[in-house]
Amino acid sequence: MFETGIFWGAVALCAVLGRALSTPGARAGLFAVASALVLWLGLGLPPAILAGLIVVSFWLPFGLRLAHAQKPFRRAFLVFAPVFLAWILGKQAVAAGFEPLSVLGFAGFSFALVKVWTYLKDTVDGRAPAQSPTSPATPAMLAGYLLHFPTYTSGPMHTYAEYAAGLEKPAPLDAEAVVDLTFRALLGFVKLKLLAPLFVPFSLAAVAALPADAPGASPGLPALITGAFAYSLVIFLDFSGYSDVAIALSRAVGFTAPENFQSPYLARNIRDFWQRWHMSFSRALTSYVFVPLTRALQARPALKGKARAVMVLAYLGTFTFCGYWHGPTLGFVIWGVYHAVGLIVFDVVRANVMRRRLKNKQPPPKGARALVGRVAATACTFAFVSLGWIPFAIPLGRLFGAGGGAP
Amino acid sequence: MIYLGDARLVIFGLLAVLAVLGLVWFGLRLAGVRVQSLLTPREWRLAAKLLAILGMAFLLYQTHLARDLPAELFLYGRF
Repeated sequence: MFETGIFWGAVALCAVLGRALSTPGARAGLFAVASALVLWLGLGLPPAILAGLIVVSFWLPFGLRLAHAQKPFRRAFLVFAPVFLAWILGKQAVAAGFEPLSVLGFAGFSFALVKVWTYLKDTVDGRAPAQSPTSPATPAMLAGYLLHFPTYTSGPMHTYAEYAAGLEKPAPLDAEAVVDLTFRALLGFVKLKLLAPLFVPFSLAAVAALPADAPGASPGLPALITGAFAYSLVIFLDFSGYSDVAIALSRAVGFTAPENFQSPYLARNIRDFWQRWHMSFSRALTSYVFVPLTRALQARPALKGKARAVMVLAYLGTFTFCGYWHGPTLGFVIWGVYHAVGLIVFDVVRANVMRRRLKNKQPPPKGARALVGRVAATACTFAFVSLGWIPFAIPLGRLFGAGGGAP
Repeated sequence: MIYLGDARLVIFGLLAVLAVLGLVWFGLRLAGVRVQSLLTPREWRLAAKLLAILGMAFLLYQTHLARDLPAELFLYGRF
């Protein structure tokens, strides 16, 4: 997408015209039309997906009015259900190779799904600003929000409130901001075009790109492990590079996009990792899936007072969804469950350690011992995350063939 | 020994720029000027970002040349 003239033309046009227009409504119209054109002509988004997302932006305010008598969560879910169903159908169509529906499985559609759910949940919970020119949202505002072209394919994902803030008052673009966003965009391109490709030949990405019957397509364990560590660098550089460019260009057109990465491989435990990795998605998972799911489980009579069982089920539910959201294959689901198990084990171990420390009145380690502990914890977290990329990157059929293959 | 070929020109050029900058810095120190006080911390950050922008643009351009216009295209006037 970054290679197309229409994309850069739209960035320049929206940066100038978006700030010149005087009302949020006019800006919303401009961004909706510009985004639709860029995604259609620049990205090659199938018109069926584009039309579907525009229909969704009309459906959301209409559906919310239709279901106004329902309780908040039920109201949000009733409006969300048709979109969710279409998303599942699209994912399954992709998995089954069913051509007529496969357009629904387009990558950016998964990001739109998260945006739809966060918008609905925020609206029914009253988190949207009450007296504001962008609330209630019009279909044009929602279309611009769902199709926002700088962040469409890989995020970061705004909440509607963050997007609306840019519609109401575009972020200023003075000389210093231009230097900042040029630096950020170029840094992103250096990660994407220069650094990530350096590690690709040694990583699981190179294995996954081989035909199934090629030598090395089913690698042995040592090749899998070294490939996984290299893939950790590839996926981070690629994804964070894309996020840097998207954040910079979003800022250029007047929107402050949320940060997506904060040195994730320096995380000291798996929970810390998820607070630093793909942060806009983790935030959506935590606040809009994990917390409501935990509350729903706590309310069930069979689970009353069973905090640990609730925690286990909530993690498994959230991360199974997280895996499926990334792709409709068993490999992605296994990756999600792997992280859920990691989080559960971490929470249980940490609770036990804290309890023992309190009981024995034992202070936390200090000095060199603490430093060694921190380095070891960071290394273990990195190794855990890296090995987790194996089912994420390599089709399971090839993994089952591993062992006898070329190293 | 790694064969550097024409890359030597770039390396020597960069070293020469660094040497000039170092000499200027030492010269200013000898003249009693504190280099850090010439700009505010915010201006230093901005200057560093501008330099990094130039450096990254140069690197990306070189990468584009190396990837999209490999030397084989130019050999024997085939380009």
